[in-house]
Amino acid sequence: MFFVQMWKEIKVFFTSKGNLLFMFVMPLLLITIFSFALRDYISADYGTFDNGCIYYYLNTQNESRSGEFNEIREKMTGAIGISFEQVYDYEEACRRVESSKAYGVITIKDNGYDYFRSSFNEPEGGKLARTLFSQIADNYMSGTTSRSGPAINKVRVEVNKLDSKNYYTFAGLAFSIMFMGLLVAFMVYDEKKFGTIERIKLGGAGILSMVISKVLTGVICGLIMIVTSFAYSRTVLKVDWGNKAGYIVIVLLCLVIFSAVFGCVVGLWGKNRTMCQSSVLMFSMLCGYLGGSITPLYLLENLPVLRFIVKISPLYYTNRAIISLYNGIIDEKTTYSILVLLGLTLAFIILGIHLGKKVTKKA
Amino acid sequence: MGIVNIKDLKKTFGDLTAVDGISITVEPGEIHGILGPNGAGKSTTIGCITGLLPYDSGSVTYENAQPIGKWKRNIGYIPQDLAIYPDLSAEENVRFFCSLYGFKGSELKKKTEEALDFVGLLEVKRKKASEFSGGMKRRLNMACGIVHSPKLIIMDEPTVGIDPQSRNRILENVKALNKKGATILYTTHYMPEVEEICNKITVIDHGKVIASGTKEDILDKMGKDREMDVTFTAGSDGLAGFEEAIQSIESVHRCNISTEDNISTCKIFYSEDQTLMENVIRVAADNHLTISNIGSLEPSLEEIFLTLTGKELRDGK
Ligand SMILES: Nc1ncnc2c1ncn2[C@@H]1O[C@H](COP(=O)(O)OP(=O)(O)O)[C@@H](O)[C@H]1O
Ligand SMILES: [Mg+2]
Repeated sequence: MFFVQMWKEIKVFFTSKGNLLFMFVMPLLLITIFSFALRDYISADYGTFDNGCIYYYLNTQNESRSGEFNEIREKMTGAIGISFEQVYDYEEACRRVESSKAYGVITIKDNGYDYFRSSFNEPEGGKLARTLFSQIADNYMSGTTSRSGPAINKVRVEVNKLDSKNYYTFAGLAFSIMFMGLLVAFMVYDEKKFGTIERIKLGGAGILSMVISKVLTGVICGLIMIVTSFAYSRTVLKVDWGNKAGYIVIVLLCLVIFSAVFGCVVGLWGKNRTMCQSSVLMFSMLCGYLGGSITPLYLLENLPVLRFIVKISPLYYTNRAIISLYNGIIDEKTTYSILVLLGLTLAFIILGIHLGKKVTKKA
Repeated sequence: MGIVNIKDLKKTFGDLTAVDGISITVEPGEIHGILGPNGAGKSTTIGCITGLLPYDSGSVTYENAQPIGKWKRNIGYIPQDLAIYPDLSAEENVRFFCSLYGFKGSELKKKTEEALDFVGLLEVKRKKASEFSGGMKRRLNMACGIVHSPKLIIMDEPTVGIDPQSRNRILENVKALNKKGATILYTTHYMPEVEEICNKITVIDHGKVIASGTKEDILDKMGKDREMDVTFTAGSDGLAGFEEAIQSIESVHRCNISTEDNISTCKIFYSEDQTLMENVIRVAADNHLTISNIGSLEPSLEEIFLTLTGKELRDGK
């Protein structure tokens, strides 16, 4: 019975030209337009090391320690083209970091290193540089890697440069996935409106299997969008998804599931098509804007109030996680984003069950 | 015990009582018409019968006093508003609804083709439903409801707003389905349809039954007179004798004669009497009157409805 319904959903969905147009064109359009239109937004600052500079402050007489630091310094400069500048006034250097003149201040001490960074607006490039620095320094200090070891080469491969093309490949795709909720909302709403839901119920099939088959159809649509965008960005925009591409897809898939469930709930709740449409569009626009799918995240994160508001957008977590993953770093951001998306999905499922009961009663 | 037994059914929407204590028994094999103006509560009653709409009080049971439960699979429901997928072809629509009843493979295919053939859409089965005319959509709507050969077919105003051909086709279909053994419950606000196809009628208004039975039953219960008009060619000599003789017939209640331009017309009001016309002709001959025209007028349900409720059936409200 379920497969009969699933098959019907797929047929209904994939025979609609509007759906196909959305599925294949929307992500590519958003990715392309944003990549080119917002080129200057991204190029200099975000997640790239161009013009990036780290200060260092010598606070030791230990020759071997400063020798070690010089080696690390050279490796980092070689790997990611970042510059280092010695400072003598620590306080002044910290102030400059706070006003975004440099990524951070490294203090070289007898027993290791301190890393000062801006307390609230450390740029993504700075985070990456810091991560890299601590990885290398850890290796040196634990002695697990020989001094001329391959650590840097590995890092060099992992660190990708973020520009508008690769930023918006992911941000634009995530944005279109949010909009995809609309297609699911329409599918569910139409079933209500056409009255076919009543026939299905008379036939003895539950509303649950109908809803699940629609969500699954949405997920299939989302997967196709991801695959299309992957192929397009690889071939046309020459964006390499990096060696954590699998994780990126997992995060995007969570977003797809969330978006499909959200759309489904809107479809169950909406009293007419316009109502469904405007709710999904409003929600997607808001999430997209706050999540950094339109204005890049680093700009939003540097704005005084918005810095906190962005956190209400599920896309914020997705985009943040993807940027890290793109740079080869799996960290708590990935976990966060998956947890946030699945948590929200669960919340909407509960809401959906509630609404579903109401629809069952009424119809 | 009928195939559907509705007892004291009540259904309210907030303050509005849509169905107010309706009782209907649908006997197996009949075409039962529920007649009532827009807003009378027809669709609401149907909703309660299909089990899709919960009701406040009363009861609806099926064959041998069964509750709805599994019995609902014996119902073929053809809702007032189209319940089809516009983006699927006619065939895909019908097949989907048929497969909900567990039909598979060659049987599924056979049933699908039969239903499409029955409503005359077999030739255009690959066309999308959205490309159909209004009448074709209605017929597809019907095919989707009957494809699993249900015992009870419920049609809610299936002919609203369609062209005469499709309408006739649907009425023919209803009769054919009934011949094949299905019991049919048919709602409409359009009286001639009921007269044409139904052998049992329930008239409802404001959620209440105001009359039920066969058409004859209803007319009799209303105590409504039938009317016979007789026109004579010139000459009025025998009129007085004629009138007297007619008045003395038991079934005749009243008799009015009027003469205009030398032509006399007699209106006779009477209750059910198969032999009246013969008698009238005989009495006329006895009185040397020549009849130029004679005809009996049965009062329509429409007229009855008007006298009962003081409003036109067709326009409702
Ligand atoms: N879901 C509903 N909510 C509120 N009122 C309703 C609903 N469905 C029907 N009604 C009201 O109940 C009354 C009977 O409606 P309905 O059964 O559709 O009449 P009919 O089918 O005879 O035209 C109407 O006054 C209608 O407005
Ligand atoms: Mg109705």
